[in-house]
Amino acid sequence: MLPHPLYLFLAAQAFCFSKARGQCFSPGLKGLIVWYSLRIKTKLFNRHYFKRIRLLWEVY
Amino acid sequence: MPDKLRLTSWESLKTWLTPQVEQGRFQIVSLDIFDTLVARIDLPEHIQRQVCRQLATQVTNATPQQVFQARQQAENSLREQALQQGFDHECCFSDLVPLWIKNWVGYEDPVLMALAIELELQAETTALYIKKDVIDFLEWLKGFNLNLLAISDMYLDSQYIAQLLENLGLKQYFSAIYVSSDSKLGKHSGRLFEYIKDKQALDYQAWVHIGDNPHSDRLKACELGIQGIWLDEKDEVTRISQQRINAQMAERGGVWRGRYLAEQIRESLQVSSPKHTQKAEYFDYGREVLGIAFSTFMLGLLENLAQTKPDCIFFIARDGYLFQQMLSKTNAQYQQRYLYLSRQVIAAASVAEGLTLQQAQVAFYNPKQQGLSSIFKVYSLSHELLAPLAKKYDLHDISAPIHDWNDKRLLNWLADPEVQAIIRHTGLTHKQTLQAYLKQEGFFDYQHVAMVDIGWNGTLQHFLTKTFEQEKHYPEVSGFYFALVPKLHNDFYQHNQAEGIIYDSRRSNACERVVAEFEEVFEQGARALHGSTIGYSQDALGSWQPLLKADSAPDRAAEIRANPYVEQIQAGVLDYWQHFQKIQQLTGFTSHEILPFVYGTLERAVVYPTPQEVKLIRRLVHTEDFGHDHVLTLAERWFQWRDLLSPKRFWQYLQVEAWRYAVFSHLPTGIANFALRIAYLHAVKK
Repeated sequence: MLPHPLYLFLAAQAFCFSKARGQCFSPGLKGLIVWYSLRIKTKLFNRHYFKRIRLLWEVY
Repeated sequence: MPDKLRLTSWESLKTWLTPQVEQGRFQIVSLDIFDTLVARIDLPEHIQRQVCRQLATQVTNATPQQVFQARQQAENSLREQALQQGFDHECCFSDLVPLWIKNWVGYEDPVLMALAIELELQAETTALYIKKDVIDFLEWLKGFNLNLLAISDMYLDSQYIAQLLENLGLKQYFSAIYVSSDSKLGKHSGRLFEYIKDKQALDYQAWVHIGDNPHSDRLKACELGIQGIWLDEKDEVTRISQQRINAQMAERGGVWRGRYLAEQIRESLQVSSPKHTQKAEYFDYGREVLGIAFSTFMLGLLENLAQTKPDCIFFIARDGYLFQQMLSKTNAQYQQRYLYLSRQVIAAASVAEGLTLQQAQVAFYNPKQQGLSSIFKVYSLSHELLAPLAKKYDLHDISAPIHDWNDKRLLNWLADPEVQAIIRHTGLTHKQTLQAYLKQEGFFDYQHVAMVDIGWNGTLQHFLTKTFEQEKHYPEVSGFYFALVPKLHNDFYQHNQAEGIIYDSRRSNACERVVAEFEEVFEQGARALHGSTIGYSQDALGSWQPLLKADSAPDRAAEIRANPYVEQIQAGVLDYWQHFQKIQQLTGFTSHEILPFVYGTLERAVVYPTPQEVKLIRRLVHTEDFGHDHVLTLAERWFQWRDLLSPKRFWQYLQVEAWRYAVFSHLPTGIANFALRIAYLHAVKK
């Protein structure tokens, strides 16, 4: 069971509310934004997907 | 031109092909190799970089980046050269290697060239696996007596590709293998198909080609009159794009590196998942939860051993057992032994010079301590001889807990010369026996030894050093622990080092502390199945043998009942370790780079366990080997709403519960655990 980056980010917030030092397993807000944007980019703007759509068009 | 076909699975491919081959329309079936028949658990560039990292270690002052750049230069120049000669933009590994090595070291070193080829093939073999349903499809095709060809646009020569397919057990299905590197003609231009047609005198009309690339495998084939089929597997496309995103994120460092590694291991495990047994849930727990923690510990241990170079590694009973098993599954060549030791036998020997107040206090760390009785048990001292002497100092009930650790009665009792004489005599007997056993096991034969154990206080190393440091041949000892919290003994004397690889309280990192939040689960996961050592005896041949706790002892009987679960957990950990090593070699990540993700995984497992996980762990029992016969029940009960009516009592229960987060695991959302975590982090001393 691999913890999801968002899950890790939320769990790490417990350290923010305390005096404890170290948030080392948090992906960080910036990291999380980059991760989500990469996923969206891959889905929407990846040339590979455009190519697939074009080739699908060829078939049907 | 044939229809441009797009099929989405091997099953649909079979359905479409069946009437065609039965009617005899096709006699030749060619299949693309990479991403069609086989897939990689890592990106091709990472595989190349791994080879460069290993090669760089062979030459002084060489960096992996230099080796990689030399390779890129060689590859680009060969591809350009092929274009100028009228071929496609292709190159061949056999031509690439001499030029690569020459670019890097200045001449064609035959040793480095041979090594480069060997490492490249090794890395590819590690990374490649046969995709799901491929074997079934090839077996099915075999029944039609067709000419099966394997085709690829790839820089490796066909002889190496043949070797890789042979290793995977795929070569037997194909009559020939054609690779763009041999002819410098690729599928992407269609010229490789023409080359094969001429070479084998084939008929395009009788030829069907299957591959994952819509351009090279379908369009170009169809343009020539070959029936091109685009095998468009959605899962595969998602997997590859996810792999690329993960690789990109891994470059950011932090938790992403460990996550990338864990994702790849998961993929690798899915491919070669063994059939589940009845107790698969424990196997899965070992693989999915403890696997990454113990594997990262082992990686850290190997890194430390490479630096410290001990003469021999001693794995300490019982929790060092799994680590020894894991080390035996590596290529590392170290002298290693398994030592039957326990805190009880070492503590008993450590009082050969008398019992100090500090030593006496060690017995009080157990929450269920019973005053003098605990001291007697921890140091294997005689009740009969010492209890009457305690009465002199108002210590009438020897089982009464001593809460004031500097209790005057205790101090007076310790100051009694008669008490110390009895203690010294008993301690000396234990010391002589232990010394004889250690001598027999070769402990004093080395100058520098490593001790490997789960942790936590380094008590064994502390007592061992204290007992034997005056001995002439006492070696330099480096202790490597899964977790180290040296609050009992923070002095490790001369010639001693101790390090906690996953958790070391001296690093003051709050994230690491999660390991100590439920240390019992790690101890249970790593322990040997035999009982704890209570002493030693000489057999008929004069050899010292460990005396283990009797199976009839109540705590041991409970352990025996839990042994099958522990065995399953360890099988899961060992399975994970095999895959971990393979992927770690490909990525080259160090234990420090993986650790942030390990802490995240452990935070999830310890602080936010699922009710199912809690039910599993409940069936395990935890026992102490420090002179006590207690059985610690893990995660005894859940939180109930009526606990709110007696909050004080519930709070007291939480304080003694070994796994307090498990109490709330059945509540939805995990908010209760989150709140408890904040409260704990507030309360804990830095």
